[in-house]
Amino acid sequence: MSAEVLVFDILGAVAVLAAAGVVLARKPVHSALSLVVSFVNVAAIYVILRAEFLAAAQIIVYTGAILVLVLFVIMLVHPEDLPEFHGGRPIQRVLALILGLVLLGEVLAAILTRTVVGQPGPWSEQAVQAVGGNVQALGQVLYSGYVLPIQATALLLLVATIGALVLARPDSPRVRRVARDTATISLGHPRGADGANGVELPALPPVAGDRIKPETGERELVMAKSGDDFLDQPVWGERRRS
Amino acid sequence: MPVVELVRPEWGLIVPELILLGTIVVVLAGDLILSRRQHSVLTWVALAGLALSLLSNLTIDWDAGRSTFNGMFQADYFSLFINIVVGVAGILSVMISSSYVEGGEEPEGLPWPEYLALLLFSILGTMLVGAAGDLLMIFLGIEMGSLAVYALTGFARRRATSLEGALKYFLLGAFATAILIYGMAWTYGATGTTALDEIAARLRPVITGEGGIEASLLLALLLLAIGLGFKIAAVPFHMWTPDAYQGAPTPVSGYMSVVPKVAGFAAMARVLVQALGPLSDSWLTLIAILALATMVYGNVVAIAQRDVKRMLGYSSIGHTGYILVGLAAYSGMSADDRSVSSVLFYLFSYAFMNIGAFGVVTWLQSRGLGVTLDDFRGLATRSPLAAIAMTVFMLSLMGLPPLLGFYAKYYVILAAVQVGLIWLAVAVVVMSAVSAFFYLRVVAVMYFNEPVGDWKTQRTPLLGTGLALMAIGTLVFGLLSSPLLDLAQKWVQAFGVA
Amino acid sequence: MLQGYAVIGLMLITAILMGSVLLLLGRLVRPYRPTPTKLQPYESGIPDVDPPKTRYTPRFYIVAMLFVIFDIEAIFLYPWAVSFVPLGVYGYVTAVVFLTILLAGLLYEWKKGALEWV
Repeated sequence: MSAEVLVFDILGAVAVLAAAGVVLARKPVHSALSLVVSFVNVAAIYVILRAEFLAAAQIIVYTGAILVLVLFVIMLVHPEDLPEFHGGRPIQRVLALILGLVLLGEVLAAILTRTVVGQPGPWSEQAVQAVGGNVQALGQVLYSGYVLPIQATALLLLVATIGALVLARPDSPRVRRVARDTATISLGHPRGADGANGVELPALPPVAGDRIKPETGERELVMAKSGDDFLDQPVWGERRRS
Repeated sequence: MPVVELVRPEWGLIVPELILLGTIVVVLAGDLILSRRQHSVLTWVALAGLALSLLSNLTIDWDAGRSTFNGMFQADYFSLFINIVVGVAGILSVMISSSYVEGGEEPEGLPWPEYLALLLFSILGTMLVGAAGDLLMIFLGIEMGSLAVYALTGFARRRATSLEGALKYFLLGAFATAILIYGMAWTYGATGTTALDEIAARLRPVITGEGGIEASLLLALLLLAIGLGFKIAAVPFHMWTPDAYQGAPTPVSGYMSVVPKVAGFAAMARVLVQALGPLSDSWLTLIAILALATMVYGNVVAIAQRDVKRMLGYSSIGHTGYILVGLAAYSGMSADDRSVSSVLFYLFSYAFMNIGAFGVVTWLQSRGLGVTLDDFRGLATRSPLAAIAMTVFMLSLMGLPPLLGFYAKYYVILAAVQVGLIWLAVAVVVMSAVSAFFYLRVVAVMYFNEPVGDWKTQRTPLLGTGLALMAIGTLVFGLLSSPLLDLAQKWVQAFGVA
Repeated sequence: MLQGYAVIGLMLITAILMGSVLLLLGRLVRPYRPTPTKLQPYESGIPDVDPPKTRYTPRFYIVAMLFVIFDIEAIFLYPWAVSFVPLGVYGYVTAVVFLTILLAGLLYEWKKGALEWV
C-alpha cells in the first residue's frame, strides 16, 4: 500500500510540474509537450485509483486527439502573428497571485477538514469485480441510468461539429486572400464599432509607411477592460512601448 | 451484485424538446437539399417548430411534476416557465434575425440554415437546463447552449470584431465551464450524488447538525457561483460581455442577452435553490453582494457608451444585477416565497424588451445606418413606428409603469422587501434612476435631433412584425402580469416545499 | 491487480533511462565543432531561399476537430460493447440513437464539403 502512495506522489509531482511547464514554457510547442507529460501522469493516477477506463480515455482522447488539435492550431498560427506573451500589468499579476493563493488555500482547507457527508454508491469494489471490471460496470451504468446525458452528449458533439464547420469552413480562393490581409484577430480591441452596412472599418492607425502585419512579436496585447479605456491604446503595428 | 435497471423513459414528458430536435433535423436537412435561394423557407420551418414546441407544453401534466430518465429530467412548473420564456425568445429572435442574416448586412453574407440550427440548438440546451434534475444535465445543457452561442457570436467571420468577441466569449466561457464543473465535482465529492433532490436531501441533516458547514461544501458553492456568474455576466465575471455584444451580429447580441442568461439563471435556481437550498444561509449574502456590484457597475458604465450595442451590453449587465436581487430574496420555500418567481418573470419580460431593442438596431442597420447613438438621430421623422417601438423598449428597460419592465422590477423589489433586503430594493430603485440617463438619451436623440446619414428604403416585413409584436407585448403583458406571475409562483410546487 | 501495471512502469523507466543514457554517452564521446555551413538544414544543398513560414490551411484543423469528435464517440461505445449482454435491446437502442446523431453530423459535414480537400 505504501508503494502505491509513493508511486502516486511521484506521478502527482510530475503532473504538477509538467502543468507548470505548460504555463511557463516560452514556446507553444514546448507547452504542448509538457501537456502530454501531464496528461500521461494523470492517466497513471487514474490507474492507481482503479479507473482504468478513464485512464484509457485520457490517453486516447487527450494525449491522442486533443493534443493533435493543439499542435495543429500551433501550426496554423504564424509565429509572427502570436501576440507577445506577457503577464499583464503589475497590479494584475499581484491580484492573480493573491486570488490564486486564496483559491489554493480554500482547496487545501476543504481537503484537510474533509469528512464524508454522502454515502458511497452501490458500486463497491466487490460489485465492480463481480461484473468483470471497471469498463463493464461503467457500461452498465452509463447505458441504463444515464441514457439522457449520453444522448445530450451526442447532441453536444453535433453542435460542436456544426460550430467548427461554420467558423473554419474553407473559403473560395478570392475571399481567402482578402481574409489573410485584413482579418487577423487582434486581442486588442479594434477601434470603432460595426461599420455601416457591415463594412469593416479600417483598423490601421494612420502611421506612415507602416505595414499591415506588424514586426515579429511586437504587437501589443490589449484586453479591453471596461468602457472605452482601450481607445487610446495602439492596436496594430505600433512598436511595443517598453 | 447491483442490478442494472432498465427503466423505460416517459417520452411524453420531453415532447417539447423532441419537437425542437425534429425542427433542427429538418433545418439541417433543408440546408443540404435546398438551394441557397430557397433557404428562406427554413425561417417558417423554424418558427413553426418553435411554436409547435411551445404549444406541446399543453400536452404535459405539469401538476404531477414527474421526472423521467432516472430523475435526469424533471417536467415541473419551473421547466414549463423556462420552456415558455425560451420558446418566445426563440421565435422573436428568428423574426429579427432573418432579414439581417439573409439580407447581407455582413460582408460575404451569412449562412442562414446554420444560423437557425445553432440558434435552435442553443434553445434546446436551455430547455434541458430548465428541466435538469441532475448536475450532469445542467452541465450538458449549459454547454450545448454556450457552444452554439460562441459560434453565433463569431458568425460574421469576415469581420474581425465579431471573431474577437467570439474569442473572448469562448475563452472566458470555457474557463468558467472548467470552474463550474470543478464545483460540481466538489459537490459530488461532498455529497456522493449528482441528483439535485438527492443532494438537498443529504445536505439537510448536515445543516441541522452542529459544527457548521464543511469547508468542502463552501468551496463547491463558491466555485458553482463563480462558474454560473460567468454565464449570466455578473460583475466581476462580466469581462467578455461588452465585446461579445458589440462584436456579434446584432440579432445574435439580442438573442444572447436573453437565452444564455435564462440558461444561467435556470441553472442557478436549480443548483442553488433546489440542490443547495439547505445551504442558503451561505450563498444568500454572496448573491446579494454580486447583485449590488453587478447593477451598479452595469448601469454606471453604460452611461459612457456611444455605441448602442455596447450600451445595451452594459445595460444587460445591470439587468443581471436586478435579476440576482430576486434570487437573493430566497427565504426557504414558503408558499409565498417570491424569489424564483420574480426571477422567472423578469426573464420573461427581459426577452421582450431587450430582443426588441436589439431588433430596432437591426432595423437601422438594414436601412444603411450604423449602431452608434448618432445613427439614431431623428429616427422619429424617418420612421415614426420604429421610433415608437424603441421608445417603448427603452422606457420598459428603464422600468416605467405600466410597461412590462416596470412590473418585472416591481416584483423583484417586492421579493426583496418581503425578506427584509431593504437596501437591495433601494439600490434597484436608485440604479433605475441612473439608467434613465442613458435610456432616455436614446429617446431624446430620436425625437429632438435632425437626421444624419443616408437612409435607404428597405422592406423587412418579418423584422417589422417582430418589433410590433414585442412592443405590443411589452405594453400588454405588463397589464396581464398577474396570471403569468401566478404561473411563475408555482416554482414552489416544482421545487417542493420544505 | 495493480501489479500488472508495474510492468508498464518498469518499461517506461527502462525506456527513459535507455534514451537519456545513450544520448548522454553520445554527447560525451562525439566531437562537436560546428560551422555555419554544418548548421544549415541541408549541408550540401543550395542555401534556403525562404524560412518555412507558410501557414497550414485551416482544413487540417477541421480534420483534427472531426477526429476529436469521433474519437470521443468511439470511447463512448467501448463500455457499451463490453456490457452488451446485460444491457440487451435497451442498450442497443440507446447506442444506435447515439450513433445516429453523430452519423447525422458526419453526413452533414460530408454533404457540406468539409471533407473535400480542394
